[in-house]
Amino acid sequence: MGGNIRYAFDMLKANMKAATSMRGAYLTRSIFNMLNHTIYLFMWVIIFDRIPSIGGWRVEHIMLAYGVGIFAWGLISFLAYGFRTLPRQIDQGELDIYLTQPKPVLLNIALGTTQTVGPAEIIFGTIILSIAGYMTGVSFLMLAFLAICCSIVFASLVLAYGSLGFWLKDFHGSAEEIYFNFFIMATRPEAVFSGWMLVIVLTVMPISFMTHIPLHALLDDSLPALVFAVAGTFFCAASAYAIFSVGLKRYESGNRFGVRG
Amino acid sequence: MHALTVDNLKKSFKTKKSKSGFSGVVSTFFKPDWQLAEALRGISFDIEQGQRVAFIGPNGAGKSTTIKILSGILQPTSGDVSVAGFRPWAEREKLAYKIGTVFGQRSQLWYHLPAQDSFHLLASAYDVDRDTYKKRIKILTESFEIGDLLDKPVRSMSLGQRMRCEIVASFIHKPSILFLDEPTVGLDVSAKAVIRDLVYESSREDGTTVLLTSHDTGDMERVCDRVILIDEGEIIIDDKVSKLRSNYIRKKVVTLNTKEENIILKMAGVKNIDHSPHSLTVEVDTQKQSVEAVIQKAMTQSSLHDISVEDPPMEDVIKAIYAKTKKKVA
Amino acid sequence: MVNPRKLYVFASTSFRDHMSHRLKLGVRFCMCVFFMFVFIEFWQLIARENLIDIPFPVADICWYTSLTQMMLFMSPRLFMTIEEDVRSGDIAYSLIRPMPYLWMRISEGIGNMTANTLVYYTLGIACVYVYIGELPSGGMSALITALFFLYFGSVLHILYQAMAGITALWLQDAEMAYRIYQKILIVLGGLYMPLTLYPDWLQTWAFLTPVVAMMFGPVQFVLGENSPLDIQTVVLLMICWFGFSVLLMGVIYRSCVARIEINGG
Repeated sequence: MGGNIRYAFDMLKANMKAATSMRGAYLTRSIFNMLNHTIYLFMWVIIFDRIPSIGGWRVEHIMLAYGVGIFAWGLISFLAYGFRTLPRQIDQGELDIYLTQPKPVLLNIALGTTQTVGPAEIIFGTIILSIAGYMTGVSFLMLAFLAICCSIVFASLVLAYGSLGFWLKDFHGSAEEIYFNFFIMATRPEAVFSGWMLVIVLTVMPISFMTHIPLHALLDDSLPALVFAVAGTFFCAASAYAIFSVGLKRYESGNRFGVRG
Repeated sequence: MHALTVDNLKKSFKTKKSKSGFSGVVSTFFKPDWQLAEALRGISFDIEQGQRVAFIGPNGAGKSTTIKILSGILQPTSGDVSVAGFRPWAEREKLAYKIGTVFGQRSQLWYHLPAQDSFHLLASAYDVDRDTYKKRIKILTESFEIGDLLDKPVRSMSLGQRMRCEIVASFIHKPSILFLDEPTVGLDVSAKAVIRDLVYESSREDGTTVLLTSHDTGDMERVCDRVILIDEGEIIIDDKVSKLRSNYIRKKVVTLNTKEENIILKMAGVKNIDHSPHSLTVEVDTQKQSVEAVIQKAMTQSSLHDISVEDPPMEDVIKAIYAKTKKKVA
Repeated sequence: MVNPRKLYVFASTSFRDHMSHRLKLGVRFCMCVFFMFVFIEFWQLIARENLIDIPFPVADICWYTSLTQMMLFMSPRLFMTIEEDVRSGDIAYSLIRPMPYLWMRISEGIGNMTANTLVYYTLGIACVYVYIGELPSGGMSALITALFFLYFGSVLHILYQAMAGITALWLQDAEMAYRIYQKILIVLGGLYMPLTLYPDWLQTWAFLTPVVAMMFGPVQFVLGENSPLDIQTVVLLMICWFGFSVLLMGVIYRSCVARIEINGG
């Protein structure tokens, strides 16, 4: 365990070093990203200009959800970028190297590739969260805790759906599309998801655990909602790990590739 | 002591068969046609500690599949394997400390970072403590002559330099068995020679067992003492490299420099290869004709300035063996 | 000039390849259907709670947002393929082929998209119909017109993806340019609601960009009597933006080729 933590720490250090070796690209990316997020947020400002409240959600609630989402996305890009590129890594057989090393494969996947945009998104997410938090008057400590939960849920979703790459060839593009839409759906007002759709967003696409339920706990000071959110976080993480493990078994069986020489 | 044993190893894969034409596309869409492909059809061998073995064969012979099973990446369909006393796919993490792997077409080095950072990271991955790591890297830096590469980002290295660093990377934790999958692929002649010598020397010094796959017979001749030739998932030959020539090809190449401008050697089992004034090169089938008889016959026609008798190149030996087995199968 | 036969061969090969990955196609399709239903729920909620006065029948706006969402899922993420070619350096080798590189990739993208279209225009439309429970107020003809133009809108979308992909030569990464383009498409193309519901100044802006010919232009036909643009206008809009985009791509492509030659790949 201690060895794993030390290794994770060393990987993170190497990651940071690789990122800072490309400072120019880092800055351009960050600026582009801020622009990208601002355009999207602007969209909601337009919508809420016409519709002041949707199922009790106003623009500040969307900002909370969106801020949490960006924060989580930044954290994933920083600490687990490899989850995002998992389908591509599988396609290119990059897991071979990890499988011959003594450290957990998942740890190697998470930290084995570099993405430079993470820190800027974490900061941008935090700024939006602070503004929205101030507007809604919620507890910042709680907000921080729930942002972490949300990040774990999002990372689990990315890992689970990225693991489909164990079965589906050339899935990288589709997977990115799906992550992006999860993010978009999670920033939708909670009231949109009712009936059978609620069942889906709590099970096979558990995006409600990313934003809707944690925000419920936060805005209403509801203990049951908080317990539900934390339980959901564990459920997502465990399921994602299970799906990944089954996929890895398939990789080891070699049927993913067939005869390669 | 056996470093590894392989017993009746089989591996088959399920693959989808695709059909051509629009109707083929539609029918495959609704009802795909699965096929079972056998990559390994029950191979068995064992390797002594410290032995250097080349695993050669044409594309799709099952070389990489075998090396992936031995290093714990793939699970076999049936059969048993023991590597350093472990079952690779079941005890992968324990095995990892004992083996080193180099995949010629995949890198374990970080692309944007100096090689040194990757070495440090791998030391951490293999729980090599700081002092041991420092000593080890000092030795490896000297023997692989990578002192000036340590601070160079991997992306700006040549392929030969990168491959030297890849091998150092797999030696850091002092593995007792080294698997090399196509280590010289894409390298130029001098870089190939360097890599071969380094692998040979370091395995001899540390007593490391080496199993390498390659398309290049030079890798096998320079590094290994034993060769396993595999084709279509079956072992065809398992022998010493030195015996390969004498056992499987009975031909010699004789070059004669003569005083006379032209001589003619018409004998059973002798084939002209090259002919120029005062020089004749022939291939002698030693089963039909002795080299001695060829020389004697030449001397009856002219006095000789020089004689050289050579084995045919290893490439030809392997080609001949493939041709022989193909004929047997047919 | 590009030989159309060559384009066809690339497109049909890619079509066949994509059809052979039915599981991937299916997963993507299921996701798309779910996201379309979320859009429908969103507008049905707004109509149910009378949050705003929507100037169209709610079924029409549900059809509208379903089709805009479908458009995003129908085309492959071509910019990633091109980015990959740039990173690996394969693009330099593609340049010596007797077929302009970008057109090769674009025709592959169109082939892939056509495979998707077969599934989305049949099963996808059926799902939306069942969920909404009625056709748009303009009837079947309005829907077919919208789908017809949406196919070409998607082709235009593929051209811009190709342009985003090629920016990897300057930015090392095509995702940045794509994300910005994607957000412009979402906002000014009218993904969430018809442009007619936007403030006037923003509508003007939207008509100054090509994204209007990709999404809003084609899909607005499902609004029936309330569709602001007639067929002639949409055809004209498409011709103009296609012409402009092909020229723009030519400029970008030529400067990119020059860049590769200077850098030696």
